[in-house]
Amino acid sequence: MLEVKDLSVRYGSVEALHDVSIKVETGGLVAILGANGAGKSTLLRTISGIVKAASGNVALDGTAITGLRPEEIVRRGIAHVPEGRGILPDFTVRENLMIGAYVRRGQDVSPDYRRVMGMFPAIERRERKLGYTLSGGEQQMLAIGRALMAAPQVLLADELSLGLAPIIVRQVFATLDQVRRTGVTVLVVEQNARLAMKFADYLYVLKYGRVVMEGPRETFAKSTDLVDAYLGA
Amino acid sequence: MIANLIVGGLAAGCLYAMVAIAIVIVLNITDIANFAQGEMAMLTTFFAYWLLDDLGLPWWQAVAIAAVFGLVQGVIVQQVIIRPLIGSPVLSAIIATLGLNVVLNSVAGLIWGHQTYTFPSPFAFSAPFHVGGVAVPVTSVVNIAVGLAIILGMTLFLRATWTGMGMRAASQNQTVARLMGVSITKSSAIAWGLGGLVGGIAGILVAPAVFLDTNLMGALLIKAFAGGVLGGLNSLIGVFLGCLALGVAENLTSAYLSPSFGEAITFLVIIAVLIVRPEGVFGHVKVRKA
Repeated sequence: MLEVKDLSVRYGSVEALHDVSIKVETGGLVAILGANGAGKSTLLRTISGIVKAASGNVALDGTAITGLRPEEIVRRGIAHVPEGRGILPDFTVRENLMIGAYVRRGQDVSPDYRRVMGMFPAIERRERKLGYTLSGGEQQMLAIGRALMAAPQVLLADELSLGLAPIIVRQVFATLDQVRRTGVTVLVVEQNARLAMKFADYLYVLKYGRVVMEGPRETFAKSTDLVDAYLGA
Repeated sequence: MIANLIVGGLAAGCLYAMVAIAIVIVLNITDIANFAQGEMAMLTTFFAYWLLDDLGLPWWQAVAIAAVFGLVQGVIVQQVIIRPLIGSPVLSAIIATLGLNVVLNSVAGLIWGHQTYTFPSPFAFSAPFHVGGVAVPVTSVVNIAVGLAIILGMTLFLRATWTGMGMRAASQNQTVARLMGVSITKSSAIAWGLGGLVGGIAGILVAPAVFLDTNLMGALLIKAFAGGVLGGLNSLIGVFLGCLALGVAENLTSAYLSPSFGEAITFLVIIAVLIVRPEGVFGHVKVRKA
């Protein structure tokens, strides 16, 4: 279980997150909704150690991971699909996937490589192509695949739908659902509320760095107007 | 005649390439142009000279120890000077290397003075090889062999080892590399260590040909940069080939046009490449966003 407790983050004098508490049960798929600038990406970046917390805690299965370096956090089983996908442009598709297994160097990762490639036939065909030549959808698949190469317990995914055609977005989310079925806990950050409500079993809404609403999918489905109001739609 | 000139050019080009590789590996991984690379190599060469002359160690032993010295020196420079500057603008680090450049030059001057020394080479008086009627000096063969070994070793290291892959990831996107578990400080330290090692080897190989003094690396540094720009600073192989081409061009123009023109070709190459193809012949424009 991934638990964030009373987390606050400051960028200079600006408070990006204020006393945020969320919980992701093992095997669950939780979504964080929010408009631009609500603090969604900051939350994920703080969990994975890229951004330092001002106060509060992050714990994985009861062990505090707050303040650890990102390389230590990924080693403990939290992989992050960053905003904008973060595909390495000069790496081939194969290298982009393999670098995901960096924390497992020394182990035989070829079964995972074949498994991940099997999940994404579109990128399997482009194994030798350089990262920057892929389309947005392919890059997103590759970014998810790369995170899976770390054999994570928890997958953090930032704005998977950003800049993708609706049909591709549905494919990406179907993949995420598939990932979750393999036992990986998933925490997604999303602007597209309808989409998130279809896949997540529990949701939070962030506004100005605070949790303003939370509940299981059913509750959210009944209060779409309220969600829309919070998201400013 | 022309074959001799080409072989000599390749041998010189390999020396430029070593210095260029030392600079480029640090530049690509850390975005820092290390202006102290030449003086670091000079210090390593003086250290080798001290081992040879004052301690009387055999050549191979002295060179092996000096190579380790070069590596450790690179790591120390990174840890002491560059690491505290992580997070501040890259320009600060570049200015720091300029400062280090001056400091190292003065330190070497204090210890060894500003006179010239003769750096021995075990190959200086060996009979040349004869390859198809061309007499190839052993020093040329050694330069070319070492140059090839370094470019091959470096390419293998960066492409086929986890550490090298991590360093290449860091050179493209530091945040993503960290999310994958790559330590940026470690990658940077390794890059600086390799730079110190390869630069030092270049110093030791060039010293017997030009005499050893505190300005040992000055000319080499400019030529390495020109060759690097010609090949494309973000491609290791490109840098290598660019330096070879420069070495050959220099030798041919010196012989057929005028010896004084051989020097000028370096600067002509820099200017021409920067105007026509700033990314270099083998380089490509770095894609910053993915």
